[in-house]
Amino acid sequence: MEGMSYQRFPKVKIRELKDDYAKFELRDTDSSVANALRRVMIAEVPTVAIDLVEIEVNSSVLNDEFIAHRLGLIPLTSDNAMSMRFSRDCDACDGDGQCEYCSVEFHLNAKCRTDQTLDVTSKDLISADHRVTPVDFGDPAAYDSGDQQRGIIIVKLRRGQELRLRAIARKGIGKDHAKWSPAATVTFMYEPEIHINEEMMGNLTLEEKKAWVESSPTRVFDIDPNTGQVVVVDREAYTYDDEVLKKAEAMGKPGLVEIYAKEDSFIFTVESTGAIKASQLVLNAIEVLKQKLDAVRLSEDTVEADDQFGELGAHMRGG
Amino acid sequence: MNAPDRYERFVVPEGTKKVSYERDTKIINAASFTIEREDHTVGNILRMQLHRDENVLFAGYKLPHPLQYKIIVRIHTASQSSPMQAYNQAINDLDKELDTLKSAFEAELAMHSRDY
Amino acid sequence: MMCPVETPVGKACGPVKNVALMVHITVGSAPDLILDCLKNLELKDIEDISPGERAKGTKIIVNGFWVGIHRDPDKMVKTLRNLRRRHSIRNTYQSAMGKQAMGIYATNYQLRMVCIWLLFFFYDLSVSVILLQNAIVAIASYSGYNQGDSIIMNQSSIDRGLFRSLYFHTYKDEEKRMGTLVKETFGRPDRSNTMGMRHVSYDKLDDDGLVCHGTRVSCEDVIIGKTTPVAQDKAQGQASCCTRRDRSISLRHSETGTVDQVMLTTSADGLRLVKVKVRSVRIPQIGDKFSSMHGQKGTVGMTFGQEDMPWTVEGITPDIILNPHSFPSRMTVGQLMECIMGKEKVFAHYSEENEPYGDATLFTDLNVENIFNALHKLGYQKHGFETMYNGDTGRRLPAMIFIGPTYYQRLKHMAEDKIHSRARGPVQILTRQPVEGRARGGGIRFGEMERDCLISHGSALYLKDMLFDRSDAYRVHVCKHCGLMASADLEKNSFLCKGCNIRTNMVQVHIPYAWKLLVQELKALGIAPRMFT
Repeated sequence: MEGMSYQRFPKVKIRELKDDYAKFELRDTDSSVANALRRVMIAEVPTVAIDLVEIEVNSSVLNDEFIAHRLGLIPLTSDNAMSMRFSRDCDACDGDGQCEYCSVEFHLNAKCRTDQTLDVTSKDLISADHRVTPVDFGDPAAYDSGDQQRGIIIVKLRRGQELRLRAIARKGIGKDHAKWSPAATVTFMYEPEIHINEEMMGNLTLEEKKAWVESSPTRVFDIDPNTGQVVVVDREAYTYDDEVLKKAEAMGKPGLVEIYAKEDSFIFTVESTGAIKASQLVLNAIEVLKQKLDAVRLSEDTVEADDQFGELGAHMRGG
Repeated sequence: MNAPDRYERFVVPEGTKKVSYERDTKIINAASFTIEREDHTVGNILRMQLHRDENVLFAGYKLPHPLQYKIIVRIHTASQSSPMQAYNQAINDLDKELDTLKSAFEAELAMHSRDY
Repeated sequence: MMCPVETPVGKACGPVKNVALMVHITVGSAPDLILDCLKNLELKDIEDISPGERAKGTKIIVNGFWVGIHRDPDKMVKTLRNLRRRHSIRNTYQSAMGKQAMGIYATNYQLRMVCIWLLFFFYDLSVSVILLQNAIVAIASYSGYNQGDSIIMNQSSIDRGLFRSLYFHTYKDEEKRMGTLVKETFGRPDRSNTMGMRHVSYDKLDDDGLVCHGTRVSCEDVIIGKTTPVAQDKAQGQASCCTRRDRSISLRHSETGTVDQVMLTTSADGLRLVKVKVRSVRIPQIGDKFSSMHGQKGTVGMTFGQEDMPWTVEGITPDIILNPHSFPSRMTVGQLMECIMGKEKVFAHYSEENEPYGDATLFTDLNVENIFNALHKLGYQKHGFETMYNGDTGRRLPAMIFIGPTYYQRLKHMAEDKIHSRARGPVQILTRQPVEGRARGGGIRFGEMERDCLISHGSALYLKDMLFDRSDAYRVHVCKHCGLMASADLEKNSFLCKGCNIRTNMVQVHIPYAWKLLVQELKALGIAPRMFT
């Protein structure tokens, strides 16, 4: 039996790729792997986020807890998060989680001195490490129009109000708190397989065809203006809502169309918060999943314990 | 206030084994593996991979309670194999699959960034 | 203003005089809409009726004016009733529940010193009274942790601030005058000269006897220090060094928070008055209570992370999952309409030419069919259903799920304020049984029905432990001769039955203290319950 393998060889095809967006096909594997990837991307790929806030002065209208919560939710660039240490298993610091290997310090110092309301934003957060900074959502197009992007607003100050604080950012995962989740949206759909019964369809009048095509809320089918034939224009627009099947039934034409979900073919859509690139998010998820599997391997002593039991086991098997 | 700490969901407490193995006393070649601090992510892929193994007669997992952070994987195999062998095999196969996936994704990525 | 709907449920039933907060006052508005509606229901206009016809119909009066007649008033009233989209009792429930919701009801909350106040971190609208948030609600049976009016909440949404709220509690005290000369004073009590000081922390007090704002306080920390002078002759029994008695106020047991504000002023009687406002953040957790606007209340039964929640093909996970069984018997169709219409409004693009229409009342010409068509055009299943995928396995759920936004309110009943357990603690003086109530650190009542359970289970020893050893265990000595309780001195090993005047033949019995009390009271009535062993 040794050496026998039930391994699969999944295939990937990237359809669209932006910094914070990726769309790709995943084939020749099953839903468990696709879903494990989705779950890991949401809950277990590490990023860096503000976890501890020491407030020195806060005369703003928002209270300390409120500001701390808002700071935590600001996405920070986390490209080195995979190699960073979790502060709970960092041995460089004495468990206080404030050393350079497991944390990044931020400072914020803002005071409103004019009559105009001052927006304190993520750009006012000064990082001690240039690799970990608040994500820049500046749209390059906005710079051209002179409309400067100011980052994520933390609080607004009026004249005389002040906010001064020190914040520690740490590595974490989405399971601990959603602020560490690098994923805005991760979703996949099963690729649909659509078979139109051409013979039955051909017997329909144009009105009937039209009514049937329009019964789908999404534009999956259309009528070819030249031939008058019903064609599938966008398979993937189908959301498994069964509306066309119900319509066919209502028209007295069950079996007009047959739709199956392929069990081994998925279309993923990944959107990142900006903490890491969407493509990196997928790669990190694979890596994290590999590490998880490695951790659940049986340890040596378990195997030994079973070997000692083995004689009896063999006896049982023999009997 | 009375809720368990969030880190309890994924940090294995000291002195606890990540995976413990318990052989079924009544059925030969049946055993359950208790995996601490894991959830459906690992449980489900393990189960589905085990189903591909033709020597596995039964493979299933359960999460006993959402606030009990462990899963129990139960395997029953034919006499040619053993639960432990099937378990290891499944992990190895999944590991190799993820390797393939990773290189496939990286290759696609390289092609895609060249297109830019 | 008198609301025709609001009433307490049960024996106190009756109209309630109240300020209705979230209603439009329609007094003085044109009755045209109602007239149009009535005309559609075959009202015969007053101008069209001949004198002979008059007697054949029932007069219809709107706002005090006779507008016409109707031939079949029963049918008209029935139709009008059917136009309502909610069971009226649900309106009653909601009007009672709305008062328990959290939210801002004044914008100067930072300066107000109200006894208890709860408010949200984030608000959906900027209107005068904000009590609700728009949550994405799915109606599904998922995992089974939303049975019997409990709900599943998305932990990731909670992390991101859903229903996160602030809790303010104000403690108040003043320097009361005792007699003409003696007056209480604020100040840090000193253990060397103050009696009656409790075994709690007085360290958080400043020299003026008050906590500083920004201080973290937890269970039973003293937050207002106050003492009264003790008249020397009264203190004779005590050590003579004690000149003052402690009258400090400490934080309620089981409460924690940060001191938000301390106010020192003078009361109407010219006495020094202090108020301390303590703030804490309340994050939704298992056991907290939530409600829609349709009398559908429920407590959180489980929280799941985003990865465990069901998801739509667009990647949307619900904030709340309700149990479908909450709907058929209660007939709160209004909530379903709110949800489906909310969904349509979320996706629709409205402009000045294409204005949004309709609300959940019967006063507009909205009908669900229009919403269905609009949703269909927007690319969604017309009844608001969506194909969802199981978050645990990634497989498609066999049924489509009704999902959309619904206005939800957080009610003031929270698990943190109710959680209670006790190993040992105070007992009542009279019966020596544990006291009642969480505030006093009391016991948890083991009632008759619970007793029945143990009896039917046959656990006699456990039952005795429950009702006797862990409650008011006591022992007395009984004279074997007369069966009445005797006096005993166990140290000297001497006993005396005063009735029989004998010192021997005694027996020790274990009885509940409450029963000893009963025996003695009966004796006072001239009845002698005798114990023979």
